[in-house]
Amino acid sequence: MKKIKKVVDERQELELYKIEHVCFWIVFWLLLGSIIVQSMFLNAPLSQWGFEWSIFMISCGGVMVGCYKKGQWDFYSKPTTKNYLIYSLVGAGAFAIIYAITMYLNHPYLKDNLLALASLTALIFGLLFALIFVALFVSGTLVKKRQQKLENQFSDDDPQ
Amino acid sequence: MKNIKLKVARVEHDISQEELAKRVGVTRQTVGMIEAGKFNPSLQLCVAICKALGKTLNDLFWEENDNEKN
Repeated sequence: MKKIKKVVDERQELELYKIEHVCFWIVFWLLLGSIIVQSMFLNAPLSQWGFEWSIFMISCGGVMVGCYKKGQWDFYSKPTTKNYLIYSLVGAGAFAIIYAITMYLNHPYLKDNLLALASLTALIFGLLFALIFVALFVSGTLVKKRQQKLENQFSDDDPQ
Repeated sequence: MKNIKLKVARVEHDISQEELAKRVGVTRQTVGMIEAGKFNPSLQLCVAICKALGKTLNDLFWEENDNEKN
């Protein structure tokens, strides 16, 4: 396949990557926010936010596949058990709070029965924590294996 | 860190930033930012600049001390 010739130099290319990087993450978080508001706060049907969710999942999948192929994990942390725990706690905690708020607003029964709401939120927190931790553990392990493979590929011992 | 050596070498050859940029295939802004220390060029671009100015990498991009730091 013939590549389209770039008309930018390396500085411009880096700056464009940075702009695109920032814009991607803005769109990513706004899309997630939009899905949460529609599905949980407004109780909109899946047909309303399903397409957005599909696009969101495609972008998540793209990032995961890209990071795996290049053996990359994150800008600010390494794939360690401690970091998996921190991210799982933060992710599950944030979602559990949103879940509790929406359940409180949308279900009159839970408004009068805070113990049931707390129990339900704790259950959701526990399930999400386990789910996120396993997902991070599996992807982190795969990335570490990939990093090892890429390191060996360019080691001194290999004939070029 | 400003790259005074690069600027001096360019002036010695009596060529403008625009001309140097054209010779190495980048924009004038990129050359200006390298001289101002606002952009770190790749090794490939460093070599191209050295060839265009008839200098070595040591001549233009090696720092012996901190004299040229801002």
